[in-house]
Amino acid sequence: MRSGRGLVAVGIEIALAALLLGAAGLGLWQLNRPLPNANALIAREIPDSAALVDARGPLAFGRGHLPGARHLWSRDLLSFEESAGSLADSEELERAVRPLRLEPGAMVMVYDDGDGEEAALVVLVLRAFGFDARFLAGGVQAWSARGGELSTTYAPEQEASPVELEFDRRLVVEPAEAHAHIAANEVAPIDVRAREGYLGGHLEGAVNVPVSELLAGGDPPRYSVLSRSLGPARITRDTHPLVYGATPGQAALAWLVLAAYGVEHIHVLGDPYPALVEEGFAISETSTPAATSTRTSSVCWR
Amino acid sequence: MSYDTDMTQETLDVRGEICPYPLFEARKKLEALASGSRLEVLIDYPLALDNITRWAESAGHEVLEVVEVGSSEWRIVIARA
Amino acid sequence: MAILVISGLAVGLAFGYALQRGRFCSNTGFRDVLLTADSTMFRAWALAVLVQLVGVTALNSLGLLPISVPPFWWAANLLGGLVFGAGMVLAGGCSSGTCYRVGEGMSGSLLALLAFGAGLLVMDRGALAPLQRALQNGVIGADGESLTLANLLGVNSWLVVVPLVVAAGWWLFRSGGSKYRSGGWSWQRSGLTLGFVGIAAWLSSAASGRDFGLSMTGPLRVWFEGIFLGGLALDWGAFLIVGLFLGAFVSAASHKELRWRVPKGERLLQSAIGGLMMGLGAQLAGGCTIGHSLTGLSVLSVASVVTTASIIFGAWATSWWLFVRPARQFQRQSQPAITGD
Repeated sequence: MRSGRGLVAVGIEIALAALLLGAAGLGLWQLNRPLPNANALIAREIPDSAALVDARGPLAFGRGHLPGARHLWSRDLLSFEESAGSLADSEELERAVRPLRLEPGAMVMVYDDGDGEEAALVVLVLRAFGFDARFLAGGVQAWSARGGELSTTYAPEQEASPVELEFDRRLVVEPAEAHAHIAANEVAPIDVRAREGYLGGHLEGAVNVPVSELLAGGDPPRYSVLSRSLGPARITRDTHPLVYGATPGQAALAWLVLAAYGVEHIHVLGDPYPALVEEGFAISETSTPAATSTRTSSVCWR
Repeated sequence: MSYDTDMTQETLDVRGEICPYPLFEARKKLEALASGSRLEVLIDYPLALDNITRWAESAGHEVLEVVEVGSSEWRIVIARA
Repeated sequence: MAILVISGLAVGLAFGYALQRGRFCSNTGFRDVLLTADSTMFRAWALAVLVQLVGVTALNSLGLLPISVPPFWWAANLLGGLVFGAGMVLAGGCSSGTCYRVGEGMSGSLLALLAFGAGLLVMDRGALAPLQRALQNGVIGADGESLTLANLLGVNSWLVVVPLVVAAGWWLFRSGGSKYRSGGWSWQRSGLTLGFVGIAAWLSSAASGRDFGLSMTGPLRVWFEGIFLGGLALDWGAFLIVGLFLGAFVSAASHKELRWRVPKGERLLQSAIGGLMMGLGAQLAGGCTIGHSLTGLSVLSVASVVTTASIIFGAWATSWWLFVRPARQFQRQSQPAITGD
């Protein structure tokens, strides 16, 4: 009788220990596995079929670029009319992208000097136009470090292609639309500026995920960084992340890493934070996000 | 196990009580008894069994008997020092 | 991934089982040090903290585990801890003790648990919400980071962890335990098991996007909010709680310790008042004896150190008032009767 009871208890204890180890092991694996999506957005090799686009300035491009690269300076995607460097409107963007003469849906490898913001912005815009744009990890620095030759052949002025291009306004959202989304609680705003900038004021309800923190996630990026950074943001099936930064390039780089991590349905605001303040977005200075998101912020789940 | 039933014996029923009342009441009751008298404590809480026996020994009293009388039910007999 | 969220259930099962087997309750642990000079349960708790402290610090410094630290709100931590500490003595168990006892069939604990939920909601959403807002503001921390013993001293975590482990370990294993046992685990076994459950909780919970370890206040609030105010969002913690009850139930049932226990009426009222105070205190302090005193300490959080000290002080003061003081009065009254015999 007694030993029978003891046997049952031992069985239960072994089963529970196995479950516990399983949960811990699954967690450890999940936290540290390379991300499956990373290669779809961040490339390390250049496939033969891919077009190459250099996102650096004309001087750098002229001094030497990857052989066969076409040129689209990320600055040409910005508009400096109203405020400091918002992403241009879709017609202007189309005028900038057209001379690349890319086939619809073509695979494009984009690079810059290795800093990332310039190339990320071009990847974002090309993706919004429906191209299979990817970020070439490390840019020119990594290329040269691997012994790659740089070409100085001047790329001739190219004619615009006649194809219809359509700009995806769900990926790159207009401020007015973002405003409505925030008011309706349909998005989780994510501020990707450095901590100091965020503490000085940010969109109401925004969670701070500094882009530097995302980039510290290793190469290839690991899930743990994402789960830590996005933990406080309440992202659900119906509440999509809305990314904004100090510049469109910074927002684009954060978007790129998040998307590579497998975060879906990200909206990017093409306007830098100062422009959003001018646009009349609600600003908050408390570091704990307001409304619904406090419930999952770092303090409330214990 | 048997013990001399002629000795004065008091009974304390603390079944259903939460911690630390079983211990607390047992202690109160036992300390009110004369030296050598016995106290029978009925408990239904496992932790109380640990508590009471541990306390009784450390206080110098003698734990005469611990009987599991039913499912999660015990009778402890303590002799006052 | 859904399976990561549901893995909270697996951790909860082990947690509940270990709590019931070890009779683990911080209330018992903290209280008995004062009341009966018995530090057995206190040792179990200390060992669980040490194991988790070393495990979490190691995983974190290897870059395998992201951690987050509870923010330091000195006033909320102090006041919440005091109220919680007093409440757990009245209720006869801290949040974990109360929950595992519900799994064993303790009716007073069930009542305390419901009152705990009410306390959480009153402080979080109800009449006392302004107090919470006032006291939980003013986060003190270097460059936005929550304060830990390590960043307070400006040193690497290991420089705090190693001396702590050496000192506490020396104290822990200096002396032995006791003879009689109701079939429960020794303090060594409880402490080790709970420490490992804590580490597993960090890993599993962080992978589900909730980067914290074992906790009860938040997860219980998720349930109470979801049930009474609507909008139940099942996260890792919500599953942890379900697992805890099940684990404690399985443990009690498989050891024939399951029993519907009903204390006398006044004790039920006392449990309810205690439960309510625990709820208010835990919500204000941002955690309880699990979230702060077990998990928060494992990341050296200053908030957790302060809250834990405050809980112990509140528990001692209440224990003294409830148990030590009346016992002394009683002894004074009964002294002549005994000597007269």
